[in-house]
Amino acid sequence: MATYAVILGNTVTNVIVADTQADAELVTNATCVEYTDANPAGIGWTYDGTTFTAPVAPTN
Amino acid sequence: MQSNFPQTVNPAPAGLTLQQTITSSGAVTIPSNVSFVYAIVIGGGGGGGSGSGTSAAGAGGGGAGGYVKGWTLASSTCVIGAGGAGGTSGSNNAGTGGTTAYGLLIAGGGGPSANTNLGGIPTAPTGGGASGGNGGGAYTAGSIGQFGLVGGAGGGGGVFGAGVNGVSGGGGGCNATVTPSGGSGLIGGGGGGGIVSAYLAGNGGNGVFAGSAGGGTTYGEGGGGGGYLGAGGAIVGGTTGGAGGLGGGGGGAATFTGGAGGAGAILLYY
Repeated sequence: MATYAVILGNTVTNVIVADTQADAELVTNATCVEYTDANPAGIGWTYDGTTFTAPVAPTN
Repeated sequence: MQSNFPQTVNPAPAGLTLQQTITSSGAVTIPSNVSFVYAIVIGGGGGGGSGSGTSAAGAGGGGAGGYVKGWTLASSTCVIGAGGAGGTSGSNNAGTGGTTAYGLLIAGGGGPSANTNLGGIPTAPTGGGASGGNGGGAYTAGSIGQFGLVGGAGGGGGVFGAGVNGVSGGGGGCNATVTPSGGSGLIGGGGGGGIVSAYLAGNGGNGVFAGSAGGGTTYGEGGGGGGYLGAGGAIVGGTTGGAGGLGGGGGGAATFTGGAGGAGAILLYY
C-alpha cells in the first residue's frame, strides 16, 4: 500500500491510499503520483512533473 | 469542555452485518444481488503541526477526518483518503487529510494544525459531504468543521485551548495549567497538542466507539488521535508527534515533526 497525490492541472486535489498507481488512477480518473515522507505532498500543493511544492503559508 | 455529539448513538446500523472494512482505494466486490449498501465513510485525519522551536507553545494536533453514513447505491470502486503529513520542524506545512468516497457518500479530511496562531481549515470535499475538523493553532483551539452536512469534526487544540468535541472527531488539546487532553469524538479524536517546556504534552482525543488515543506522557510532543478502527500513537518524551489512528488527527509537536494523520476507511454493511 502506498500514498498517491491526485493531480488536476498542476495542483494536488486529494491525497489517497491505494495498493498500486493503476488502482489510484482507475478510481480517480486522474493522474496520480506516489509520494513519500522523503518527497511529501499535500492538498493544495503544486506539482511540476518532478517535485511537489507546498503553498506559501499565510501569516496571521 | 463542550459536548455536542450523541455519544450513546452507535453509528453502525441495527440488523445489518459488517461485510467489508476497506482501507485502500480500488475495486470493491459486491454480490450481484446487492444493489444498495449501508456505508460509514471516514476521511483521513489532518497532520499535526510542528512547533516553531522558539516559542513556549507547541503546535496543535490535526483535526479528525469527517464522516458520513447512510444508504447508497453499491459501487464497484472506492477512494480512501490518506492522512495528512505532519509538519516538519520550523515549517508550517502540515497536510490536510484526504477525501474518502464511496457511492454517493463523501467525507472530507481533517484540517492540518499550524504553528501560527490559527490552525488550518480543511478544504470542503468536492461534491459536498462532511468535512473534517479544523486543526489547532499554537494558541487557539480548533473548532468544529465548517462544511459538514452530517456534522463537522472538532479541531485540534492549541497549547492554551482545550480540544473541542465534535460529531466525527474531537480536537487535541494542550493547556499549560490544566490536564491537557484532547476532545473526544464519535469517530476519531484529534491529535494532542505539544508543548515545549515542563508541562505535560497533550493526549490525543478518543474515538467513542473504537480507537483510543495515544497519550503524550511527558512534555514535548502530543499523542495521536484515536481513530474509529485504530488507536493513536503514544509518545513518551519523543520528538515527533504521534500518528493518528484511522480517521484520527496527528499529534502536534513542540519542536520537531508533527504526527501524520490516520488514513480514512470505509465500512460496508449489507
